[in-house]
Amino acid sequence: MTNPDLPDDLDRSVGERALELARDQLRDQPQSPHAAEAAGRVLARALAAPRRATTIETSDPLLQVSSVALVALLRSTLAAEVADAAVRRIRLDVRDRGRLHAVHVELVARYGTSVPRSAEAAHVVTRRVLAETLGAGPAPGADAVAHHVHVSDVTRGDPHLAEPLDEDQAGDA
Amino acid sequence: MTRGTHDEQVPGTDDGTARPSDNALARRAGLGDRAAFEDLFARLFPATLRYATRLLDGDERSAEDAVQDAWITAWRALPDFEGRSKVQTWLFTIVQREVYRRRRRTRPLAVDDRILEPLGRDDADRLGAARRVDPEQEAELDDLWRTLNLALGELPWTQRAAWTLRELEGFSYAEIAQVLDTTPTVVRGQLHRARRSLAIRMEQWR
Repeated sequence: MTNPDLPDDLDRSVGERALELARDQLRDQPQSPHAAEAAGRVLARALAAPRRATTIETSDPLLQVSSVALVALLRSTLAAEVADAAVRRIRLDVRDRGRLHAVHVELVARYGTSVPRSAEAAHVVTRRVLAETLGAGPAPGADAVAHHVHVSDVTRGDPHLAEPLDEDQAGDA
Repeated sequence: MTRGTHDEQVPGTDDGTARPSDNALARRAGLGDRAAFEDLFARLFPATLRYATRLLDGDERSAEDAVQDAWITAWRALPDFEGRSKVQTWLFTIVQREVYRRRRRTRPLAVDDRILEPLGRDDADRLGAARRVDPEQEAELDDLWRTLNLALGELPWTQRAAWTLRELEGFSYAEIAQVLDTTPTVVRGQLHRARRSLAIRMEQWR
């Protein structure tokens, strides 16, 4: 479909070359000073936006923990202590007005490494973080919380640095 | 409480300095790693602002507002991002939606009359010369990309978005289709029409 207002009989080679040159000019344009000023403002406002969260009971009746904080703590501890697998997702099963029933940890493992060993390490870390956060002992303490570890995918390289999708796309290129 | 990207010794790397992919950063940001979000932001924010500014006719204030809302949405939605597409594509989809919402609230701009004047066809030598940039030709080159900006402003909005994503941001047809919520075949057609219209408009540059 063509625009009837545009002449068809023009030799467009000059226009196409001009377009190419102008496009290169646009690509090479330095970042505007406004972009640098705006970056700080935008980042601060984005990080200040609250995420959907729920509060979780601990063994201390005066203390509750945000699900967002617990997930972040679990992720960072697992990342630091489980060598050959990275956390893809953590799901908390919270019922009964704040009682944590289960933690589901989904991992991406490095191909060729021991999946049972990574899974066991993840269990140990999860148990410890829950005990430190909720307190040990029966509900609402950590002893009553089930934890499930699920290895859902593998990467050829370091799973902390790449997603399977990255490697698929690199392979396609 | 969270040990973030900057101070975390990532296991599995020899020296701890290897660079995570955008999607790996998105995964960590979704799990509450604010430093990973900052790193992702540093990589992708300039392109998102550039894109919004182009689509909003150079209105930097509106572009900043749109991009800010998009990044807020991204921060809140990252826990649900499943990593089935590139995070850059996912993010541009959000930016596109915010930009579109703002455009619907503004009146269309009048087309610059100069764009519609009869077009010249004898500029080939000058184009060759202009590629060899020297100080005397800088003003000419400024005119060149200003002409392109005007011509882009004339295009139907989806053509402009498709051309910008393809030619300036390097997206594939499939990625553009995802951002614009259409198919790669439609994108191909839009790009063809956009290039034709722009090339004809660029012939007026002299």
